[in-house]
Amino acid sequence: MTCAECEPLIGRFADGELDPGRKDFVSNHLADCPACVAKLGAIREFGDTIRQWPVPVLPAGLWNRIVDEMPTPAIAGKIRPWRRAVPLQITTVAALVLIAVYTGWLAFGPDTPHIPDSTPAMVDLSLILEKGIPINFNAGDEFNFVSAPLDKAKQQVTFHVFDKPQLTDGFTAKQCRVGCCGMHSIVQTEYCRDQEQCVMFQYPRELPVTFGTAPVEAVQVGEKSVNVVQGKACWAAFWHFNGTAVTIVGPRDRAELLRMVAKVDQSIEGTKQ
Amino acid sequence: MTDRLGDLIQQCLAGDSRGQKSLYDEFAPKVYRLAVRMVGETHAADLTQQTFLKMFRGLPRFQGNASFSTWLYRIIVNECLQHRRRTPRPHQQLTSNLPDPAETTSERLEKADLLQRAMDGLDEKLRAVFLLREVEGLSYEEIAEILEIPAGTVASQLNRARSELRNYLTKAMSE
Repeated sequence: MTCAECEPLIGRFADGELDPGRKDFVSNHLADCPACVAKLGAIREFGDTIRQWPVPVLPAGLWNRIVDEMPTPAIAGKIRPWRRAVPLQITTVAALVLIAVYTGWLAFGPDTPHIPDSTPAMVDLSLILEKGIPINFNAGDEFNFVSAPLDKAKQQVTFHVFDKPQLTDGFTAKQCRVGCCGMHSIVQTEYCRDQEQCVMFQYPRELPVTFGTAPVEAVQVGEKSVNVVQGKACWAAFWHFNGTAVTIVGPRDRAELLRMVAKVDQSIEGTKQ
Repeated sequence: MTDRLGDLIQQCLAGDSRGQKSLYDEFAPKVYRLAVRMVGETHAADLTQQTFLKMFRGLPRFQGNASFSTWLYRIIVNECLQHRRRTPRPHQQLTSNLPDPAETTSERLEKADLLQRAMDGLDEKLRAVFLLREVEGLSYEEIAEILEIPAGTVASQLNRARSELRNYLTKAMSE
């Protein structure tokens, strides 16, 4: 190997990016060529020198600047002005189920031949929070949901379950169903008050949920940090308790939602797994 | 992707401000360091801010096809390149950008100082390749993914950057 052949390879040699064959050729050449050794030394010296430069220190307050520019209050830790909530409709709940089904959240259970990919799908609730699509609520039945009494539902899953028939503000459990998502279970409880409904999902926290660009607010409820989401059609809350995730969708205003969160969380806290 | 990073991303997607802050704490020092080396301290904070804003806004669309850090590096590098295009400086030929001989005291001729000057004169894309390799320690394949160029181009651009730096330093040291 000549110097002309070696020179283009010295950089790769220094970076450890040469295949073994060419690496040997370069090594052999370097053993007898002081000029190429000097070039290799210069390359290594560049790296050594630049890595000794002082490490820039992040400016104080940079995170706060980012927070101030973020569109959602969850980032900023700020609360957006309260907006008038649209009265709830049953279709809101139905849309949630349909979207969940569509995104693969409510998939076939492990006892069916159609077990989906083990990677959980991302559940995008933005559409239902913003619009509430009118569909048939029973659409979720074909996805292996089975009805179960509240007190029995928690016996069929491996995570904490809120199993009280009364929620708050007159909401009463209408039905509870247990379904599967891949190898995980989901407990879905529907609560009614006259013509209003809300639905609570309880599931392992491994199953991800996103609310799109809907305003999200980090709220402290008791000792628990809860994400509250403000949609045009309804409100939602999302929080974790150890390995359990809880999502409530449907209350007509923020205060009502927070009362529900407090009651549910308090009850789950007292539940033995 | 590590479980912890995956958890942080999920927290961010759920609107968890603590997860967002944790993600910032994890990656901001690297992003800021690269920005300082690319454009200098004056604008590095602004570009770091823009990078994180873009990252958080784009996170729901992040597919995981690239690693998260590769994706983030791509954003900051593009921000820096766009910044330089918006605020062009007169092109500096490395060989004509030597320090004033009157100022070339022995201290000013320290290699670190000269290397900084030499890098200031490098083409922006060459500088990006050089910094991603030498400061961030990334492989050719990772750099290629960030800059969306072939790995062979990474190698040739690195060679060119090093050659220009060596020529600058050789000439500067000889004067």
